[in-house]
Amino acid sequence: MITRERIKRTLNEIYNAEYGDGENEATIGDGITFWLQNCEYPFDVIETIVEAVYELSGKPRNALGWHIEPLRDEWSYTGEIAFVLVDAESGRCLTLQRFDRPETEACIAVALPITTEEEAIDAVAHFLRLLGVPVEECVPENAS
Amino acid sequence: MITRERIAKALEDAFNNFYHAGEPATFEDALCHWTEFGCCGHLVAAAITKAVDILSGRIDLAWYHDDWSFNAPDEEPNLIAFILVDARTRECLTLDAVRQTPHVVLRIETMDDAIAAVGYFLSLLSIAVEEELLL
Repeated sequence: MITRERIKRTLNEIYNAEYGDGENEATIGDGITFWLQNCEYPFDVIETIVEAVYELSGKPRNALGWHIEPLRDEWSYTGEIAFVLVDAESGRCLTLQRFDRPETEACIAVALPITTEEEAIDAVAHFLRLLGVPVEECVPENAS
Repeated sequence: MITRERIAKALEDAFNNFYHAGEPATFEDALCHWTEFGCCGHLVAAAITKAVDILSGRIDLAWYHDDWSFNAPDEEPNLIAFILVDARTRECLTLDAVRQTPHVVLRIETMDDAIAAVGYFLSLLSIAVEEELLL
């Protein structure tokens, strides 16, 4: 069972190794804040999330196919990122969502909000579950 | 065998399905907006995918498209990334087995490009199209 704490640690280790300056620790939260404040394409955030999924799932690099689009409105990024994930070996789209009525269009992508560190952890947890990796459920702090 | 003329008609019919006032009135108008101003790419892409739905007779195809110009090196214009999934089997028909990407990126600048794109997707669905349409 992969805990949320482990996902958080993995995300921040990957982010700091790639984007830290060696003196001050850089976190995925820093990257998300920079993205939303400066309206620049969030390569760092996307690559960190994807890298964490590979690391925690143990999947080799050639096992998964990704298509990722930070969603925009007319003026700026919305804070949501659309992900399409395909198992490259079987060719099956893991993010496909089918709806109840057959005539209703199915949806290939999942759009996830990535505006905080917690939401980045949720995203990694979501993809790990799609890959069959057991992940700790998120329990709200005020739950009894 | 699906001909070029039939695809051109399907593109206009598809475009008319989701025409809204204030937007380009024809598929060719939408293409012009896309190539000249970089807008209406979603309309161009939607007409292409809808034309494939119409010509294939399939109601179980799932699509995703994305203005790819923003992601391309040097922000090359007029690129659209398409992903096509058979929703019954979940098979991603546009998966590039070499690069492990689920999308194909097509340059759509002219009516010929749009017709060729529809022909390409029909061929992925094993529907016979005129040979000259194959990319």
